[in-house]
Amino acid sequence: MAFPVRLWFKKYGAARFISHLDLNRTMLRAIRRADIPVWYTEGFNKHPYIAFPCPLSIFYCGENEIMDFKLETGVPFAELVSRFNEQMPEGIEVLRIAVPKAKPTSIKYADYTVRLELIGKTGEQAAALFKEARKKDEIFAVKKTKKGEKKIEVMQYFRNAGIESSDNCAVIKMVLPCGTSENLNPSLIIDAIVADLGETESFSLYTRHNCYLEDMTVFM
Amino acid sequence: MTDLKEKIERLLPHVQKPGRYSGGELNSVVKDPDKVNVRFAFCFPDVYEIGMSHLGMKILYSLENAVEDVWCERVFAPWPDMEKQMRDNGIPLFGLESRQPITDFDFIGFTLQYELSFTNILNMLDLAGIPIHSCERRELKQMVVMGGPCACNPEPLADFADIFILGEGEEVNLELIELYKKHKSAGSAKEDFLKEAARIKGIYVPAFYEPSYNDDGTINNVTVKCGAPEKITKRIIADMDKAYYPEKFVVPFIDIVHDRAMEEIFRGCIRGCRFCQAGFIYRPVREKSSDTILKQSKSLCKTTGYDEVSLTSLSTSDYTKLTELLPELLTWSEQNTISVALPSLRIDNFSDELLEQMKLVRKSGLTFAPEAGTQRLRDVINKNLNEEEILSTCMTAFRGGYTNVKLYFMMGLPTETDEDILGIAQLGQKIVNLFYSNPDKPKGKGVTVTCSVAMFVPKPFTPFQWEPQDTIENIRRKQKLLVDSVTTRKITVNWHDSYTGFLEGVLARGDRRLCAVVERAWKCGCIFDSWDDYFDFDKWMDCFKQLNIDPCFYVSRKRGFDEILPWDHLDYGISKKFLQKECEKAYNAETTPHCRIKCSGCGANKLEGGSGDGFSCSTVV
Repeated sequence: MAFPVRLWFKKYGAARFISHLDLNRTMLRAIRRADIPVWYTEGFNKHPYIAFPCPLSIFYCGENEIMDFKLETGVPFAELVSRFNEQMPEGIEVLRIAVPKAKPTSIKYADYTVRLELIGKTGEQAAALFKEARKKDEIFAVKKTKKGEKKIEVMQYFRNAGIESSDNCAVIKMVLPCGTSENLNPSLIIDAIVADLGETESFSLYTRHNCYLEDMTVFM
Repeated sequence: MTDLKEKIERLLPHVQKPGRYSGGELNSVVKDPDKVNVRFAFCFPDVYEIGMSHLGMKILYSLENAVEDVWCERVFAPWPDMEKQMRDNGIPLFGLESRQPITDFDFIGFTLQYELSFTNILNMLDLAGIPIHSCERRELKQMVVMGGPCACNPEPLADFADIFILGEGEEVNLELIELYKKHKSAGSAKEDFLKEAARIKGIYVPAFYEPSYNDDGTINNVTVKCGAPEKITKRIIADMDKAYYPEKFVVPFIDIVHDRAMEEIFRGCIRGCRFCQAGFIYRPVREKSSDTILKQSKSLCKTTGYDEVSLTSLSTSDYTKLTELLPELLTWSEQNTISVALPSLRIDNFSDELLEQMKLVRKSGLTFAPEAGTQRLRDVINKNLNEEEILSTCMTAFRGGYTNVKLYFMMGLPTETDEDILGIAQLGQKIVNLFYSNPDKPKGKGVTVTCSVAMFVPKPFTPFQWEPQDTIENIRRKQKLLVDSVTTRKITVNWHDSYTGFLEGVLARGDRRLCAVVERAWKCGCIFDSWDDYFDFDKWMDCFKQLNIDPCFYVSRKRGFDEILPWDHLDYGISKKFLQKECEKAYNAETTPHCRIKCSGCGANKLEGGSGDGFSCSTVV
């Protein structure tokens, strides 16, 4: 009997240019190379069953990304981890494998760090601007979805953001809705605020840390 | 240097498909720049997805990187959105592995896969900050070397390349690099290196050959300088089982055109279809043993994680050991959930046994290439295939459950008449009728016959190298004639505009005077000419006009058998006499049997110092 397992991995460096679709293919090939006894779907077009409960946007780093799959036969998890890591391309590292505790649909939040550089400004100047921006009443952003465009008020998410500075960057920390019912990318919020500040040239690096349940315990 | 890497990464959010430029793919080779002696930029003058699908690049990349002090990196033409970002931000063309500028690399290698990629070569050199003309590069570095099928007439690029490499590259590339190392450590001048390189078999240094022209524009003579050989002979690998083949492929993150393991099963082709350049320039036929094929296929799938392997050659079903190979290959693939693709199957030897084995292979559609609509014209082009064979194979396929048939044809073939064009539609109709005459046809299913019609472009080293190419106007008329003659919706006709074919024809049989046109076209903004979205025919024609060069001289003129052709000083093992004989036979619709029935004496079996019986191509199997 195949049994479900959950794999956590880090995605950073050059691997942040791998889109979700490409990541799926990358993982399937790693599974084949590592000869992991994954459970295959039983349709006409047999393929290993893998799923990502919470896809990560292209250009984002992820510290605790999740992939679910099923094992056909029992293999010690520590051995699986090293077999995976022998086959991973630059920038993807498997951290641990465990039996899943929560359902993917129970993910409600995720936390992010944004390192944002405003070209021509120091990190402290940038951080000060963002701290000031936290006092605004409302700023709107337009979210494009498959169903069309949706207007979103972003200050409700930004008001509680942690803001510091480091080197030439403002370092912004946010907790945002994540999952199947509501999902927001920090870039939507940051872009709206940067535009509101009237800044034209900026560069930001996004990192997602963890996914959380309704009660803010880490999704396991 | 890390600075450039970061600059590049900052641009990527602003371009489409950043995976084209990010590098870091599995099995890509990263070395320490301080510990290598020779840096080689392997440039493919088209976009990543196309270049990464190319087997030749994979072979040479691994081969060169197997040499410890050589580092070969991949470089592709950046798509115009990325090019703009690079130019705006002062980022030179860089190697994907090191993300360092290729400007001062030792070798800048280009593969010449199709004529319409020539402007991209100039654009890539320019993006790298390398002078485009060979004569402007005076030092012993930035050696621009070019190889691949279009190197069989590289004259339109002669001003830009330092070296053309003729034929198969596995051995000659390493010989060239070794020689370069010697000259580099001795601090030689570029010309001294080139003089010695010209003595390596397969190395063509265009600067050592100077053509002169007659009043009518044809070539009068080619003067050879600096002790270079009168004729440059292409290289071939004698034993395919001993030839280098990579154990690993670089596995891309983004989806590319051919995203699978590719296993080459033989080189060359026994058929001798008179329109087909590949059928002549890759002679003689040399097969890999089925053991080698199995071993290499397994290794590739293991190291890449690909779940599909494609057997590649010019005509898969001509592989003599196919029925020996397939059972074992298919057993392995079945056990490992790997699918096997067999492209390039011929109609006439598509046996029941093969069809039985093919049932295990994933079924797509059936694709055949009759190439011409009537028997007379098929005989002219030596496509040794008759209507009965086409129909009986379709019947076998229909009985096997196929309902889609795709047929490839050409238009503008020598001696072609309107009757031959109408014959395409008639053949399609016969196949449709055949489907409905089959009592076991699958219920409730219709048949689709797709006829794809390409424009014939005469190429060097074929029996049609002297032929005029059909005009754009006439091709258009014939396309309309064909479409109008199809009376059922079960037949779909696909065709492509003939402007690209016209330019391809000019460049394919061009001489050195076209270098100026290629350069001007690039300066006028022509790049990615093989892409419909970028091809600008009028701009090209303006460049011809400005330089007072008539493209029709190259494309629409019937050449005499005694004319000196721009590629006559290159020897691809095929004698000119043989090609002339084949051409004359074509006029009489006389066919030539394939190499395994009877040796037609093309000359290819004398390559590599062979006595004429060294290769299986000349033996009857």
